[in-house]
Amino acid sequence: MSTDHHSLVAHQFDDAEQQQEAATLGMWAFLITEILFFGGLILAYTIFRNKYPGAFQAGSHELNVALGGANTAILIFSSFTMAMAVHYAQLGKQKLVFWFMVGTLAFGSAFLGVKVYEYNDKIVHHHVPGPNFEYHGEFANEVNPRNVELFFFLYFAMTGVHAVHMIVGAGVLIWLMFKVRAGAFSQAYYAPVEMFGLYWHFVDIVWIFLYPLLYLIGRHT
Amino acid sequence: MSESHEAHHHIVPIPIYVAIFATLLVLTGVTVWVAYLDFGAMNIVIALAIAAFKASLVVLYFMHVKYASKLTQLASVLGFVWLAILLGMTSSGIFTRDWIGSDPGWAMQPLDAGAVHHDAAEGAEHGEEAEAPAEH
Repeated sequence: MSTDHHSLVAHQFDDAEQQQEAATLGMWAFLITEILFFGGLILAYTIFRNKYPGAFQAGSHELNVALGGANTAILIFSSFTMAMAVHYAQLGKQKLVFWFMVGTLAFGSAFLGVKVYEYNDKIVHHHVPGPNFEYHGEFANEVNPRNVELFFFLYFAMTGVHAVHMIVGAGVLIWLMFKVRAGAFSQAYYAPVEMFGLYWHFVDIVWIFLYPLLYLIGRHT
Repeated sequence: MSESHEAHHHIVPIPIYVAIFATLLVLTGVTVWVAYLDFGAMNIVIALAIAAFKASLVVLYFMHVKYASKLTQLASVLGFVWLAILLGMTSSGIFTRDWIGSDPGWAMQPLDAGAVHHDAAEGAEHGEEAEAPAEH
C-alpha cells in the first residue's frame, strides 16, 4: 500500500496506517488542550454558581429554552451529517462527502444564525455585562443584579468562545469542500476530513454541556 | 468494499450512526423535560449525567474511539480525567469552606461584601443567604 500511494505517505512514516494513527493521536492531543481551555470557564462557572445560586437561576430564566434546545438539535444534525461525510470519505465516494459537508455547513450556519438572534435579544434587553447592564426579571427583588451580570458574563464568554469555534470550523469546512471538489482525497487518503470531523464533534460535545448548564437552571420553580 | 482495501479502517454501518443520532435527539428532549421536574439538588446531577452519556456516545461512535487503537482511546479519556481533577480538587475546597461555623481566617470572603448589608458579627455566610432565596 505504501508503494501504491507513496506520495500520500510522508517519508517519516512506515505506511499509511501509521500516518493515520499519528494524525489521530495528534488531533486528540489538540482536543485535550481544548477540553482544558473550556475547562477554565467551566471551573469559573462552578465556583460562582455555587456562590450565587439565586442569581444564576435568575439569569438562566432570561434565556430562551426553546431556542437553546433548537440549537442543540441543530448541532446534533450537523454532527450526524459530518459523521456521514467521514463515512463516505472512508468509502471513497467524494460526491456524497461533498454534499454531506454542505449539510454540515448549513446546520452550522443555522446554529450561528439562532445565536445572533439570541445575542441581539440580550443586547436589546440590556443583558450584556457592562455599564448598560440591567436586570428587572422575575427575581429582581431577591437577587443582586451585579451577580446576575456575572452569570451573563459567563454566558457570553462560554457561548462566545463556542461560537468562535463554530466560525473557525465553518471556515475549515469550506476549505475542505474545495479540496474535495479538487479531488484531493481518495479511499487511501482522507485524514483531513476525518480529523476535521473529530474537531466538529468536539464542538458539539461542548454545546451538549453548555445547554443544561446555562439555559436550564432551576426551571422547575 | 472495505475488506479489499484499507481493511484496518473499521467502517461503521450507517444504521449505527442513525441510531446514535436519534438517541442524542431523544436525550436532548429528556434533558429539557427533567429540568422542569423538581429533584432538588439532584437536578444538576441528572442534567450532567445525561450530558456525559450523550458526550460518550459522540466520542465512541461519531469520533470512532470505540474502534480506535488503545493509545487513541487513552488520549481520548485523558483530557476528561484532567478536567475532573481541575473541577474536583477545586470544588472540594470551595464547596466545603462554609461547613465550618466560625471563620478560621482562611475562608473565602464574599466577593460582593460591599454590595450587601454586612455586619461584622454575621460574617461571610449570611451575605450569601440574602443573595439566594430562590433556592430551597
